[in-house]
Amino acid sequence: MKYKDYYKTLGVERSADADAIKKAYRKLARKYHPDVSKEKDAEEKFKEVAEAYEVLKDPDKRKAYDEMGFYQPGQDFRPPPDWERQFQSGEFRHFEDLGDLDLFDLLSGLGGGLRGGHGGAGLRMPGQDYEVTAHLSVEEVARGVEIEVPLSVTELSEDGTLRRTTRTVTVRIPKGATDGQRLRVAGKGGRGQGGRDGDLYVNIQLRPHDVFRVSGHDLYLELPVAPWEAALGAEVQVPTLEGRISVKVPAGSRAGQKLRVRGKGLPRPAGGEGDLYAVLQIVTPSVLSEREKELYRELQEASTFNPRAHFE
Amino acid sequence: MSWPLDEALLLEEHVLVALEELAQASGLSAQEIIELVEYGVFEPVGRPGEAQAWRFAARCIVTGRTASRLRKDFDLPTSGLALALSLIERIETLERQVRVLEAQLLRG
Repeated sequence: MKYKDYYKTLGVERSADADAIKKAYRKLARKYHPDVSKEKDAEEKFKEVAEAYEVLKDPDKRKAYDEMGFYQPGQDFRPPPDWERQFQSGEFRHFEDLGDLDLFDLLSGLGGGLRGGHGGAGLRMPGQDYEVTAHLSVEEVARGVEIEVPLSVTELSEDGTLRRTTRTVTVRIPKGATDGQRLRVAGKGGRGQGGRDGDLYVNIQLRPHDVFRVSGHDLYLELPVAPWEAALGAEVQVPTLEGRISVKVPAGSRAGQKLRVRGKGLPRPAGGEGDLYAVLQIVTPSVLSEREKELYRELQEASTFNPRAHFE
Repeated sequence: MSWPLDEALLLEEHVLVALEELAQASGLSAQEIIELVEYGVFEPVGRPGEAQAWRFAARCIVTGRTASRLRKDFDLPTSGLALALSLIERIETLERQVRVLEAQLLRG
C-alpha cells in the first residue's frame, strides 16, 4: 500500500486542530473545486484535498491514520501489526493483499459506520457514481457509437476481501449527442452494498475535425472560392458527413457570407438534423500567369467598383 | 469482466424525469429540490404544490449533481447554492457562445 501524507496535502501541521484543518480545506476547495475552478488539473487536486479532509475531519479515521505511522508520500508501507487488531472489525477484517489496496479505501471503511459490519446488519451503502470524458469524432456522434469505459473499482468480494479491480462497461452513445453534453447510464457505476448501484456519467468532448467545426448540432466549414466564382456565381462541390454535394454560390457573393445547407448537420436527439454552413472565403492565386495579369489589368481599367467608397 | 451493452440517456431538454429520479441521480433530497424550484434554479413542468407530479428536463440532473457537490464540499445554504448555480450557468452560456463564435470565425 502506498502512503499519502494528508497533512501535507492540506498544508497543515500534524498537530493542527479541527478548526485549522477545516480552514485549510475551505481555502483549497475554493481554489480547486472542479465546478468553479479553471486551474490546471483542478479535478485531480481537488480529489486529493477532499480525500485528505475526509480522513482528517473524522476523529476516528484521523486516529487510525496517525497510528499507521508516518512515511514518505508514495512510499510502500504496511500498518504496524497491532493496527489491524485495533481498527479493523466487521467485514473488513481480511486484507490479504494490502499492496493493491488504496489507503483511502482502507480508511473509509472505518469510523463512519462500517465498524459494526455491513450488509446484513441493515447498513445500506449506495455504490459510487463515476464520471468519465469520452473523446469522440464528429463522424462517431453523427451515427452513434459504442465505447468501452474501463472503471477502476474497489469491490468487496464474497469472502470479505476488499479488492481493486478494473471493470469494463460498454456504453452505446445514441445518435444526437454533441460537444459538451452529458449522458447517464443508470446503475453502471460502483456496486452498492445493500444500497442501489452507482451511476456512470459520460461527458462528450468532440475531437477537432479537419474540415468541420461544430456549434451545437450545426456544422461549419470554410469554402474557398476564386474571385471570379464569387463575382459570377458558381456551382461547387462541398463535403458533408454523407459525401459530397453540389452547392450554388450566388453571383456577387462576399467573403464571410454563409451558405446554409439545410439538414446536413448533426442529428438532433429529438429528431431532425442541424444545418451545415459553408462560410465563403475568397482566395486569390499567389502566382499569376502573364495572361491572368493582363485580364486583371483589363478588369481594373473597365471597372468602376470602389471597395473603399465608405472611407470617403 | 465485461457488462452487457447499455444505452446511455442523453441529459437534455427533451427527456423528462420525475422528482424521485432527479433526487436519486443528483443526491439532493426532495426537500432541497423543492427549495431550489422556489429559487428558480429548476423549472419543472406541472402545478405548484404538486411536487410528486412535476417533471424535470433531464438536464436538471447535471445541475442537481453540481448542486449536491457544492453543498457537500462547501456547506452552502440553499440561497448561496442558488446564487452559485446561476453564476455557473451564466458562465456556461457565455462559454457556449464563445464556441459558437469560434466555429464561425475563419481560420487565419
